[in-house]
Amino acid sequence: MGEAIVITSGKGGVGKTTATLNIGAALALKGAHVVLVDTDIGLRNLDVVMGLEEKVTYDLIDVLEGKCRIRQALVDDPRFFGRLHLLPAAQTRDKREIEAEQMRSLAKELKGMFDFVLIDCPAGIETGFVNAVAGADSAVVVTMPEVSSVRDADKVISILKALSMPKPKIIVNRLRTKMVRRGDMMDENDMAEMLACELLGIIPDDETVIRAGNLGEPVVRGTSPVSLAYRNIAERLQGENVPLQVLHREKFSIFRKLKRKLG
Amino acid sequence: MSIFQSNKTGAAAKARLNTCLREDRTHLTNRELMLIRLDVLAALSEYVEMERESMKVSLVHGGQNEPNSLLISVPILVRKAK
Ligand SMILES: Nc1ncnc2c1ncn2[C@@H]1O[C@H](COP(=O)(O)OP(=O)(O)OP(=O)(O)O)[C@@H](O)[C@H]1O
Ligand SMILES: [Mg+2]
Repeated sequence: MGEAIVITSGKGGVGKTTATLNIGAALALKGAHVVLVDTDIGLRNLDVVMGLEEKVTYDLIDVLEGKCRIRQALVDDPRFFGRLHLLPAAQTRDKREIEAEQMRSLAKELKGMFDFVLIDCPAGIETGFVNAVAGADSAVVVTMPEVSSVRDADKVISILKALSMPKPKIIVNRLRTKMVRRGDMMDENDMAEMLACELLGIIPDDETVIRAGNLGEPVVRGTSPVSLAYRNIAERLQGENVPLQVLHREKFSIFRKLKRKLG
Repeated sequence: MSIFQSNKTGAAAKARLNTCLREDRTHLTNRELMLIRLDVLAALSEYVEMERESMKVSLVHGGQNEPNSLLISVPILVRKAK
């Protein structure tokens, strides 16, 4: 039986969809069978980020309404040897058409077919959020290193607790290493401490992600720090003990040494 | 002051986040916090002289399963003579 994990956040636009794709792709590269479920009804975009938009025939609501079987709605990503699939969201429907109980039974069925069911959650804490969370065994909360983003993440963490979910893990996305180094950005430990949650990973801010998004490709096959960050997260989800990357360790420089001496 | 010194906005972000989380988690408004400060100062001033302006109220985050604490600190100068 597989595991269903919802990728959520408080604030929108922090990188949930990007993380869902890249963690899923990294898990698939490691041999796991993965399905990505887009629950952003009316604003579907996981298919576009994956470059599979032309392959979508049926969607999540078609499955829930019994218009097709799950297998018919699943879109296979041909780059991952049959190990990465997408269940797309409906683009023209209403979030309220789904009920939490339906999501629970869908997730159960998918867990029987895949090792990992990654659920991409819509922004906000309304119906769409509640439905996305309903079928999940655990949650990952994505935040950016900004006050408003962490504050909203804290809100979501307290809602997840009220929904009796296990304590979520945190991904800090779009960390700007130079800014952390010069003291102009909170670091990942500050955020994990304030949110009182374990860190699942730190992802640097990297234009590679935007370029890959333009092409409809995941970034996990590359050698950049961002590719490594997603692969490390996948390994941690598979229970491996992978230490967190220290992205902003001070580099040695004569200038910095002089600066420290002068106060 | 060092010629290299700049305003480190990361620390400011952390302090502001702490204030936001304190509000969200305790539901204490700024007015209520001010009243708490005044009550604590009044109670302590019976016994000690303090640096009143240096009083700090912050949220200490509990661990995985521990509750948060409200930490009120104020530097004490001397014990008041009876
Ligand atoms: N590590 C990163 N470095 C640079 N850009 C990033 C990174 N992660 C995400 N982005 C960019 O940020 C934007 C928002 O990302 P994404 O769509 O994944 O967020 P989201 O949380 O799913 O948004 P929504 O709440 O609207 O669903 C995208 O343009 C994406 O390319
Ligand atoms: Mg999204």
